[in-house]
This record gives sequence, structure tokens and C-alpha cells, in this order.
Amino acid sequence: MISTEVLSGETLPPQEAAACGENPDLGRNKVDVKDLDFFYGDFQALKKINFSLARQEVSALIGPSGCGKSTFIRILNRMNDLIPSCRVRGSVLLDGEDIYGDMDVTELRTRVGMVFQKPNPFNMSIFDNVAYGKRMQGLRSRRKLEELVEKSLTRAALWGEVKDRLKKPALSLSGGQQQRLCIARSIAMEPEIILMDEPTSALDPIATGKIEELIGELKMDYSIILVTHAMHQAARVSGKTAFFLLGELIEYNDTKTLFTNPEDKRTEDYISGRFG
Amino acid sequence: MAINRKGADIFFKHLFRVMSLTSVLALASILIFVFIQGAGPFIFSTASGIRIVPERMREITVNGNVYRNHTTFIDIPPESDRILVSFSNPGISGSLEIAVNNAEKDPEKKLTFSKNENGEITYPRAYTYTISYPGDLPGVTSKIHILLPEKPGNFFYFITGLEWRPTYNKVYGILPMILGTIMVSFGAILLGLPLAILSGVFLAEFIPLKTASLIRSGIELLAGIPSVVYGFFGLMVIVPWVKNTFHAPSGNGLLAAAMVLGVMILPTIITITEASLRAFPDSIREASLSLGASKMQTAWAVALPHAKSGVIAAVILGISRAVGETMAVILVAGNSPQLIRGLTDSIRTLTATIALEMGYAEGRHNEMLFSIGVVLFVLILALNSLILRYTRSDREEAKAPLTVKRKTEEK
Ligand SMILES: Nc1ncnc2c1ncn2[C@@H]1O[C@H](COP(=O)(O)OP(=O)(O)O)[C@@H](O)[C@H]1O
Ligand SMILES: [Mg+2]
Repeated sequence: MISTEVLSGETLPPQEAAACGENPDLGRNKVDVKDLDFFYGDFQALKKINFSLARQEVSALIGPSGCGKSTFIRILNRMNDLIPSCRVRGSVLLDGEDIYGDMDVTELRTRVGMVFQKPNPFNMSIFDNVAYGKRMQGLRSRRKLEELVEKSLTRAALWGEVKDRLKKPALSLSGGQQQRLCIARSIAMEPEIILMDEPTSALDPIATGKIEELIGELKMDYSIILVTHAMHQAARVSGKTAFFLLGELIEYNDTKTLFTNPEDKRTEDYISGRFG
Repeated sequence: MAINRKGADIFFKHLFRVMSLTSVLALASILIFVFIQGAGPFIFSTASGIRIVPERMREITVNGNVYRNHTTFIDIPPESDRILVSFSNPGISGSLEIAVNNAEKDPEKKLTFSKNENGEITYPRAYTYTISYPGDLPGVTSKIHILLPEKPGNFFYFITGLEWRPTYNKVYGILPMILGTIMVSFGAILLGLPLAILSGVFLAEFIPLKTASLIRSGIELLAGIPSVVYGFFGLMVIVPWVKNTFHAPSGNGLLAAAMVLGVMILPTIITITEASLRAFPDSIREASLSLGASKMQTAWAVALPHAKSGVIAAVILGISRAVGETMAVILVAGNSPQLIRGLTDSIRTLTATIALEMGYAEGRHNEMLFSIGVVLFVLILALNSLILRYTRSDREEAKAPLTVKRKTEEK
């Protein structure tokens, strides 16, 4: 899934450079966020965020609720456009291209997939759910759609469980299966990045385990940003972790470093508060 | 305290029981009454014998009995073969002698009237004796109606008959009106539904909430306009338009009625469609958008199917309104009880028949109008249950596998 587009060669802000100092892929980032401010009306939900995501990397976002994690990842596929009176300042580059520039929103959203907190399959058959996105792009060939559905469901580790009942309503699946279906639905669009907003918070531990396993496999092919409440989840699946607090990105570092040897006092407080 | 609460519980339990039982019984008895009343003309004769009905008679004597200012039926025993009627009004008096041939089956040959120079028998269609004398005012003539008993009507003909001549020929076929009602309603849905659904989608999905609520209150205002105003509007605008566009002899007809009704059902369907689209969860809307679908595609492929049951409820309401609407239709439909051959032909609905004829209908005619009401009732019931069946089977389909799934997961 490596894109051949021209890559951004812009210099990173100091904080970022420090964080990615040893990264040989520096400058080949999938996503670069610079000095991002975000407002809901008068309320500033994000302040001066600098963030980058390398290819085939899982970044976890942690932080107390209301700190702006969801707001942040919803900027990356411009989901916040739906909210009236919201404002974005700063730049968000995808492969060096400004997503708030001339990029078509629907194209952006096919490149940046999203999995939501609560499983939200459409009230259609399992097959139609997975085929939905491509159909909306005009793909009509039955054979191609069948291939696509099988491939995506297999990739989302759901094929074995549903292959005999593709015509059944998606809402008849269990919560965990529904969430994997939503992941399959995203994968079917062949995205470059998958954003996941607390994808396991509505699921039981077994289903959560399956999804975490799946994320581990998906990171071979996709860049993933995972918002999570559970710190052990961040520790288990992510390469890098960002800690948000009150709309600020406090610290962004290798997961191991961040959890064992945080640079910022507030990060340490949060982590120890949770574990302690 | 505890005892009090328990007592209150028991009291309310019994109260609810009694109340629900009463309301069920009341409803059931109303239904039974309505159906029996509606079935009456097909089971019973109108009377056992001949009936005399005086109209504007100061004094009338029938077979020796004197009636003053009498306005209802005077029953003649079935076996009597001679009726002697004498009357006296200010300025005129006279008598009428009727010989009844009870052996004769054909009602038209059953009666023989003696000559009377003061009045005139309209014969043989309707047996009405009209008294006229110099100086009386038109419209206030005194009359004596002689009603022959009508045999129980033929229900099959009632439903399938093509002729409706209730006053003179005593022929009661309402098929043209049944078809008229169905065609007018169907036409209204055909014209109004696409427009209404598109407007609902537009309001819910593409307009900011504030503007939408402004427009919505305008639309709700439209729903409150009395139907006679719609009819008048149709008469002034739509009927001439139909007449000119289709070069029809008259613009009053199916097309005009369907158009007026189509406009009338708009507000209901628009507001319900909009409301059910607004109830559509944002999370699913977001799912669709996050897959690169446009807003229009999201509305069409996900939101509208999700709001389907609401839209179907709206359609049912629309159909009920179209079937039940009377005043607006009377003004623009032309009201000929006929099978139509063209879109602009004059057409009559069941409700229009009731409204137009209830004022002067008597005897069997009156009963038949009641039966038309029952047919209307059954028609609406059938239409609604048909549509409800489709929605329900849909919902059950979505639910059924869920229970199966739960069982398998427990293992
Ligand atoms: N649609 C909105 N309008 C106004 N404020 C919002 C909206 N969504 C979120 N917020 C505010 O923005 C802040 C960040 O919210 P969010 O990104 O959902 O936090 P998190 O996902 O980290 O729990 C919160 O203070 C929240 O109240
Ligand atoms: Mg959140």
C-alpha cells in the first residue's frame, strides 16, 4: 500500500523532530499535522497540535475524556465538516497534500477510513454493508463486488463466521462481529489510513481481544490511528503513543518510552494515576 | 400507608379493567351496529306494505285516519287493496283513490290511480302526487309520495353494478364510485408522493436546521387550511388549466381532483418524512460519509430506507386523507357516477356521493348511502392493512435472525 506520490519534505517543528529523531523514514510521513487549532464556535478544542504518522505505523491517542482525541482524528478525514460553526487553523498534510486544500472530501474519505466507537453497520445485509462504499463509487460488477467482499471480510477476520449468511441483516451479528464488519467495510475502500475511535469501548473482553489481534495484523498494510481509553491497549498494539490533555498534545513518543519513561510530569501523573 | 397503597393499587387495577372493557365493548358495539346497519338494505325490505308520505299537507286523511301536519311515513297494511286519501290545504282540497293489485308482481302495474283534476301523478317511475293550483309558489308545492316496498337489495349488484340511479329507477350500483375513489387517491399519491418525499429529504438533509424549521412551520400552516379552500383554489386555478391544456370539454374531472388532493397530502408526508429522517442516527450517517459517499447518496441509500417505516406511515395517512377527502373533491371532480375513459373525465367518489345526496335521500336510498359509508370504511381498512403488512414483514425479517443468533452464541 505504499504510495508513490511526491512526499513532503517540509521540516518538522522542533518537538516533532525530537520525537522522531531516530526515525529513518523522517520526511516520508503519511500524515503531517502542523500548528493545528480547532474551534467549536468560540470554544477552542485543540491548541497548536503538531503530529505526524509514519507509514504502516500504529499510533495510539490517550488522554482523559473531553481532551480532544475524537475531535483530532475527526479532523483527519474532515468528519468535523458536518458540525456547523466549527473552524480549523493550521495545516494537515496527507502525503504532503493539504486535505483542507483542493482535495475532494469524498476522495479524502476513501483514503482515510474510519471505525467508530459504537459499531454502526447499515440496516442492510452483511454483503451490502461491505460493498456499500465501492457501490457508491459506481462499481456494479457482481463478480468484482463478491471478490471484494470476500477479501475484506477475510482481512477483518470475519469471513469464516459469516460466509454462509452474507444475505442476512448485519444487525443480526453480535457487537464484536458488527465492529469487525465495520472494519471490513472500511478496508473494502482500500484506504491508506484507518482511524479508530475507541473501537472496543462498547465490546466485551473477548471481542476486544479479537479486535486488538486484528489491529496487530492490519498494521502490516495500513497506517492506523487508534484512540483508546485503555492504556494497556495502547501499550499492546501501538508503536507510538500521543498523550492529549485539555486540547493540547502533551507528549508524543514511542509507546515504550512514553509508558516507562515519560518526559512530561503530566504524562507521568496520568499514567501512574491510571495504573496506580 | 402500605395498606393505602395496596388499596389504591387494587382500586386502579379494577378501574382500568372496567374502563378498558367498557371502551372495547363500546367500540365493538359501534362496529357491529355500523355493519348491521350497512347490511340492512340487503337483508330487509324497506317496509311490509305501501307507505304514504305527505309533504306540506295541513291535513290528510288516509283510510279514515286523520293526520295533521304529518311528515313521516303512514304505513298501509300489506293486505289492503284500496287506499283512500283525502287532503285539505288552505285554498284547495281533494281526494285520491288508489287501487292496489296485490296479485301483480311487477310494481309498476301494481297501482291504479283514479283521475283527479287538482294534481298530477308522476307515473310510473316515482309515485308522487303533486298538487298544484293557481298562485302557489314553485318549490313549496304540496305532495303525496306513495312508496312501494322495495325488496332486499342485491349486494353483488351494489358492489359491481355500474349504474347509480337512486331516485327514480331505484338502481344502486356503486362500482364507478369505488373505482373513482381508488383512482383519485392513487392519482394523488402518484403526483404528491415523489414531490413530498424529495421535499422531506431536502428539508432534513440539505438545509440548515433554522431555515428548515421556518419552512416546516410554513408547510404545517398549509396542513391547517380548510379543504374547501383547496377545492376553491382547484376550481379557480387547476380546473381551467386542465381544460386549456388538454382541450377537455370541462376541466372538472379525475386529473383536477388528483392534483388538488396531491397538493393536500403534501404537508403530512413532507413533515413525517422529515421527522423520520431527522430521527435517523448521526452515527450511521457518519458511517456512510466516512466511506466516501456523498450527502445525496447517504440520504438516498441509507437514510431514506432507514426512515422507510415513517415514510410508509406518512403514505398511509396520505391515502386515508385522499380517500376521505370530500369537499375539495366535490368542487373539482365533476361528480358523474360513471366509468371514465380519459384522464379528464368527470368522476365521482364514495364520499362525494354521501355528501351530495344525504340531504334529500329517503328510504332505501338513504340506507344505501349508509352502506356506502361502510364500504368506505372497509376500503380504508383494507388499504391500510395492506401497507402495514409490508412494513411489518420487513421488520420481522430484521429481527428474526437476532434471536437465533443469541441462542447460538450462548453455547
Ligand atoms: N459538536 C461539538 N460542539 C461543541 N463542542 C464539542 C463538540 N464535540 C466535542 N466538543 C467538545 O470538545 C472537547 C473535546 O471533545 P472530544 O474530542 O469528543 O474528546 P474525547 O474524544 O477526547 O473524549 C470536549 O470539551 C467537548 O465538550
Ligand atoms: Mg471521544
